[in-house]
Amino acid sequence: MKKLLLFSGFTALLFLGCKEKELIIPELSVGKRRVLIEEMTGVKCTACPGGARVLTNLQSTYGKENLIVVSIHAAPSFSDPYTGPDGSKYDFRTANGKLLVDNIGPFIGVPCASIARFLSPTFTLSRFVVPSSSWPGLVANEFKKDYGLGLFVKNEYNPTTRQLDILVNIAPESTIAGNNKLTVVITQDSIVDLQNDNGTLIKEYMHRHVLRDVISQPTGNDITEALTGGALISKTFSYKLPIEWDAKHCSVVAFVHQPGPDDKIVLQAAEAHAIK
Amino acid sequence: MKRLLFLSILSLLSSLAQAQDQNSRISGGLQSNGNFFIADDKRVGPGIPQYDYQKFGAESWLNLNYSNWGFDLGLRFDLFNNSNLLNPTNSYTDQGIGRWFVRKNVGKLELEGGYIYDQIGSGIIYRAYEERALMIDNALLGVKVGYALNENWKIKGFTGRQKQQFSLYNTVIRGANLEGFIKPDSMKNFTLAPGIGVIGRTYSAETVDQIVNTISTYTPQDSTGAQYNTYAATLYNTMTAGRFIWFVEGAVKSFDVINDPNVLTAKGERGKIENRKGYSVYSSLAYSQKGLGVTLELKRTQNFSFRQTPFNIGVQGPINFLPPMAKQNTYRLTTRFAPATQEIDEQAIQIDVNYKVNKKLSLGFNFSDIQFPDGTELYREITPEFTWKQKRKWQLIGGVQFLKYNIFVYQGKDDYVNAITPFAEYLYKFSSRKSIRIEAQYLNTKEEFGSWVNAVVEVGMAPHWLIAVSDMYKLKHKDTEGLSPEKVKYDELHFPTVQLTYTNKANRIGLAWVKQVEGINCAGGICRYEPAFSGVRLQVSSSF
Repeated sequence: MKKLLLFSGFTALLFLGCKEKELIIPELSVGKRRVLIEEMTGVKCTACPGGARVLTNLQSTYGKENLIVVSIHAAPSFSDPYTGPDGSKYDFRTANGKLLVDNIGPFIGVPCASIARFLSPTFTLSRFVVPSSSWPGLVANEFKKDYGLGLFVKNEYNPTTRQLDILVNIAPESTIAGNNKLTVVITQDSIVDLQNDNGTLIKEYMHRHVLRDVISQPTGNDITEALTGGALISKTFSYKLPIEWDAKHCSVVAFVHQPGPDDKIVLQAAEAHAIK
Repeated sequence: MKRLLFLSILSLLSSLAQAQDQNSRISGGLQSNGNFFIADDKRVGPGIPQYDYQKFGAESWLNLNYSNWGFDLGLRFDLFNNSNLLNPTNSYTDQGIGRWFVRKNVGKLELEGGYIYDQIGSGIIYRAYEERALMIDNALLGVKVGYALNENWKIKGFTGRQKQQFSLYNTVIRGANLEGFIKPDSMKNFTLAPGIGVIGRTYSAETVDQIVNTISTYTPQDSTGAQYNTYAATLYNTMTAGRFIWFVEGAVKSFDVINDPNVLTAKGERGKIENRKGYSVYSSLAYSQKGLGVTLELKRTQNFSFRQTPFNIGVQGPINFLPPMAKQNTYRLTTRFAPATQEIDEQAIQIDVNYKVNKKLSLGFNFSDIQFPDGTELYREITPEFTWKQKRKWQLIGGVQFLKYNIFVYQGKDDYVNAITPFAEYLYKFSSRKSIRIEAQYLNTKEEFGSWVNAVVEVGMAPHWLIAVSDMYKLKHKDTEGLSPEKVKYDELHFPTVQLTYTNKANRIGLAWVKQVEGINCAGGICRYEPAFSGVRLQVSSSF
């Protein structure tokens, strides 16, 4: 007992005053807004390449990682592929793409784009806004908003099985109210095919950010967990890439949005290549 | 300054040696390795400087100890020239005083200063030691004071900083330890050897800045606290009761910023630093009687990485040592898949049984199983073996190793390796001086690079000569369709070794021509990847 007391005393000397001043660790903001643009387009839409060029310029201004574009070929008749011997190689239309645009708003003309699914008081007919000249202002407005929501996409691709495992992490900085939804889509970039560009048929037109499929429900999956500050909500998805798709140009786009019908705003979006 | 210190100690040793009286004792030893690297595109990967242009590398340790007037003095000179020990894929060159110490007993007080090797208990909270094969040398440059309370109880305290090659880590360490021995007069064959120890570690301001800067890049979901000081305490005891020996040690650690390489971040990346409390419990129970020996070991570890900084990984900057829980195999192919001790999460069991059936036949059985607490299998080995001794003329050892190895966790590739490795060793003595030893193993697996065979023939001519020839051969995959080039890169390749060793009293010289496949090199559960080797090795060791 004496020895233990001696040891305790000795130890107490060594570790005297073990309580120390708390370290201040700066907190990182992960909710920096990224804006999603869902562009409705079609290979027969002669004005759409002009709209696409507007989007390319906007991406140059804000950065591709901040302004995420998904091009949905679902414009009535404009998206039908050219037929015949010199026709389109691909049909970019998909059933899920159609359901996706139906959920955003009515088609009123091309080129049109939904800017974070915001229903502008100036353009009340649809969340798909025409003309393209109005897009820069709407995009700038969206970048002024910050919902404090971190969103991360991590992909693991197996080239042998072509299986793509997707992890989507939702990391709110503070509590976000509402019944939020998560939509996950897959796009393919740099597809060369026919396109009507301002009245001229371009055989080797490079189609950008083409929506290939919707992995979640086209209307979005319910996020049943509460989006409270500091919480981490993980969702996983698996998708087998069809052999015709070039995996190195495929990307996963995920976004969290309000369910509507009045408010469908996309709070945050994230994009990650299928292959690093 | 270093040179001045070196010269001072050398002159002190020299003058002491001249003035030595009958009570003085001087001893020492030399260990030197010389590696001549021979490029081999088939076996050795590109970008290793020793193969590309340096061609020669060496390591050497020369130590000298002197004792007189109750003093113990020691000095060690270390040299590394284009050495691949520190980083197996790079080159390290430096030399200098690797260790010095002065020790003196003043009555019941023991004083020691310099580079101190020591440990508390089995090392779970603190171990300063040297493992040259892995370039671990974390001696504490500091002061240790011990006091013998009586003939059975001893208390010690120490403080200092641990060495990092020829410099020091900035982390300050302090600790205390009380150890005793109890033998009740009333109980025959019953003893206790209890101990208690504590360690405190204080990070430097630079380390804390680095930690804070790293955490500040994390999302709020991944953010974690941090502090300068971390404390660990351990309680242990060895109980001997008749034929049983039971050792148990339990240790706890206060909040410590540690690196967890497996945890997923909010961004979906793997690995981050986290501030966590930890514990580790280890116990071994041994039973022995004539012809039978049984040992059972259990271990459970959670968040017990204890290092100089959370950015040290692998063999870098260990402060403690967690006992390994797998059989210490010796054959080349049964050691190919060795498990590194998992510091973050591990639960393990090992049973080892040896039974002597009669004078000729002995049987052995080992079972070890290591898992993550969630049940994820990391390592499972089952090895039954026998030894047949035909008087003193010949001996045959045979057995088979059944192995399941989580190569993703241990080496970051693929998934699991399932292997069955039968092995045999035959020793024949022509005379008391001349003998031949033949060993062979066949590693049968579809995973990693596939199956291997290995054979060794060793001729001993005591007391001076030992000649060994071996070859490890990669069997060709039966069907290579769909297999990656990495998987089949060693198919039909030989990895031969020819070794000649000359021993004369305490001097030993070994010369070997070696082709060695890449793999994991482990010592005491601490492992690291080592690339393939091609070249000539010269090893000289001497003690005096």
